[in-house]
Amino acid sequence: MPYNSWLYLIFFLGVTVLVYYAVPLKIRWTVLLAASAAFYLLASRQLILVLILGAAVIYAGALRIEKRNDDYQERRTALPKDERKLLKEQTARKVRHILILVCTVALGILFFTKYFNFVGTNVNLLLTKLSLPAAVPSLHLIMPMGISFYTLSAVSYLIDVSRGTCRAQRNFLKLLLFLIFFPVITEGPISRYDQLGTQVAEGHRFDYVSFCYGIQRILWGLFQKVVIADRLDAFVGNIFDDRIFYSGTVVLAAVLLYTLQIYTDFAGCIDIARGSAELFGIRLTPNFAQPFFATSDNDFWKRWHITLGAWLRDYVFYPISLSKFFQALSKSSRRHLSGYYAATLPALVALLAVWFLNGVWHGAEWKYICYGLYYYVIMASGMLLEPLFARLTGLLRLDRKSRGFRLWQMLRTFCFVNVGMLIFRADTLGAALSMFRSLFQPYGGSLLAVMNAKGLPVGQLSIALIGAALVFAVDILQERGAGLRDWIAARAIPLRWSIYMAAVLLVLVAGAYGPGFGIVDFIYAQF
Amino acid sequence: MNNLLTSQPLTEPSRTAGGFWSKQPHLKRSLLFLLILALLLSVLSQLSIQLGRSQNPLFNASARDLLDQPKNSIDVLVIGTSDVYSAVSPMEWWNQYGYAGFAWGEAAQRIYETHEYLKKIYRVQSPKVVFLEVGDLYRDKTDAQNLDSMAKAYIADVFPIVTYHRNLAPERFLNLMAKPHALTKGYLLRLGTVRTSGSPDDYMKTDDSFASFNPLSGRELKQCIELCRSHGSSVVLLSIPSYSDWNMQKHNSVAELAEGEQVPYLDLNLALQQQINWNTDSADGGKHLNFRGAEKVSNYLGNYLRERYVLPDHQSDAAYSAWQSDGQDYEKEMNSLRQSA
Repeated sequence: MPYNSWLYLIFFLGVTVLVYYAVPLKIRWTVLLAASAAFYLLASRQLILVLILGAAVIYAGALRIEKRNDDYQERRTALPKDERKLLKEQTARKVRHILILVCTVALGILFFTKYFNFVGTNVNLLLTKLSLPAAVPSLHLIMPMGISFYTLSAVSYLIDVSRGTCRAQRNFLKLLLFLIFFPVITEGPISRYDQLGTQVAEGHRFDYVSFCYGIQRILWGLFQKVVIADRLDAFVGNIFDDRIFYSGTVVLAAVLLYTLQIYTDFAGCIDIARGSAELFGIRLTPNFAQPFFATSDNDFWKRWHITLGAWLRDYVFYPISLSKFFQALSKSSRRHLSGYYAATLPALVALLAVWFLNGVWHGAEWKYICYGLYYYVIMASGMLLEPLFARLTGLLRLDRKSRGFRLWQMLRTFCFVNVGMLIFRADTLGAALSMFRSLFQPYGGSLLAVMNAKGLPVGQLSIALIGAALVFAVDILQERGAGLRDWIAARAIPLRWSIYMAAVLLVLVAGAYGPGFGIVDFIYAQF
Repeated sequence: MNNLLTSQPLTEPSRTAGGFWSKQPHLKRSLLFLLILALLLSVLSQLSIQLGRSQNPLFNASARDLLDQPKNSIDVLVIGTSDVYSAVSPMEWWNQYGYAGFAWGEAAQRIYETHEYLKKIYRVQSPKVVFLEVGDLYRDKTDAQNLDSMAKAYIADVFPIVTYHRNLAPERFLNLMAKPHALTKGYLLRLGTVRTSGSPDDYMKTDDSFASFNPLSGRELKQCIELCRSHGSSVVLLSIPSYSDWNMQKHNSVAELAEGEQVPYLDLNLALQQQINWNTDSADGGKHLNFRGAEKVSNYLGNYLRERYVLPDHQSDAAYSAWQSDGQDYEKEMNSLRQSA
């Protein structure tokens, strides 16, 4: 059930809100659980069983881990120092074993449904090259909806319990609700238990402000998705599908418009999800922070899909950085290298794992792995060349904090991001390379004529661009820290209501839905 | 944090004396807001319907003009998707047999919308024969898609703007002047010709298998059949020739449903397989028919009606004098078109 469907917005959300606030506070979470189960059943039917079984293992594992940790805490004060140390080591080992076992189950489900055929195909390819018969069968697998988001939330919950940063949930159904909460199961944001788990499990009183803000956010999300992103889909799809016929400005337009499409599609979905949660008084973690104001690729990933970047930082980068191997590497690095590179080179090793996993998480295709590694190469190059850049800017007397330099950095990052989006959207890595080359070959015909013929006539393009201007104007205001929703809320009723009504009408009238437009699934829902 | 409407949250109602409404300021204002919004949407809905009409009566194919026809004046109704308005010209029946028919077709119309429209139509018309075009049966594949279409049909029934929103375009505002005159009775004259690229051998290739449709779609179609029957109409399930959208698997499934419901199923993909020339009769490369294809479909349907049903010939009926002049205008336009084509 897409978040931009009539069924979801008017009936599903409407009924869930009414029932949620009609039942006693204590059992309101059950309404969210029932709604989440219904939402999932409607989308993936019996595959919900996979998630329930996975949740059962995670539930039991987390309780077991917590029991081990609690036992240690209880016994440690009564023990002499040596025995305490021994018990600590034993506990840590046992906890690690449970953690590995349960994470293997959680990640195993993800691996099996999402990556089995990809790995199998490549293994078979390798065997064929070695003149051996193919050994891995290709299975007809259906990936449960939202499995990638579900798995990351589950793993973070287990690790957090093992680290003692949150308590294990004793009610299985409440844990299940955290894992399959309907606003986040499709595209995230990837939630942490201490942030979302407690919120969904407790009942919330009706809060008029939160409710209105939720509706505003949903409308804003719909505007981005239905007015802008879906309008661009036909043109972008046509050019990427028929790439061999186009070059130069046409390919450039397709890449730029795809970047706009994926931004408004993903950010729109997240806004609808966050708005939906706000209707129940639940606040979700932001997933975007004006990504096109980023001054570096590293900065971009702190603003784009924030929760994925934060997850990889907390559960991949830090554990690798703190591992014994890495500590030894750092020591060795400090012995052999000068100050800057002594710290940078070990970090690059940890970052390689982060960016590889970033790419793999997006999909079981080489192009996604290359997408992740593309950012790694850019980031690593930037880090390695930083002393050179610093010297160069010093020689040229450039002020790296000036507005002009920041603008240059933004423009440079924007260009890198667009190349990344080209890899992301192209059918294969080969197609991406061919399109990248064609960017530098002039196109003989008229761009507008192609747009007109391929699903984006001037009128439609104008609406998309005006919409994009509005999105970036809001981004500018948010970058400057302006509280737009608070500003609107403080206006007198005539102006405030006019803004709300205009927003509703804008989505209804200018939305790219119905005859003449295809139904466009949310892009990130497939991951 | 600023409150949106008042300084007091809903959960802490005013403790001053007063009735329910004075204690629920948020609720009162929210309802007022929704009422104003509903009024605005109603006005825009009417505007979007009006803007969908063409100033040229020959191209005014607004399905909703059926609701403006004199009460109980329509004997034959064809209802369905864009295939209906592209391929069924009721004026051909009028000019040949004096039958009063109407083609209600809308782009991508779902079976749920067909059901809602039928309810609306039966309030003002009592057609003796209803052709239910089944091209929309395969559009919604999943339960969620079906439920969404059902939801949309209910919303569009109250606020038609959700169906006709694209009519609210600046270039259409001249249509405000258009008179709601349904000269073609729902038929949209499509003059262009785009050859079908596929091989004629692939069209309706023999196949005994079935293309299953979602059970919810099937159930809704059965409800439409039941609704028509309860109003005394004879029902015929209809498939209109479409190279790209129809095949034998779909035919087999609909035929099975028709048999179960004991209604005739007229698949013009088979009946007109030899007559339709996909090089000359399609407006868009095999999806919809153009005026040549429409003439063949309309003639076949007219003959089908004459052979199987006893329908009144209204040509000498004074109540249908407007149809007389429409019929003449239509014939004149079509003759000049045939000569120039």
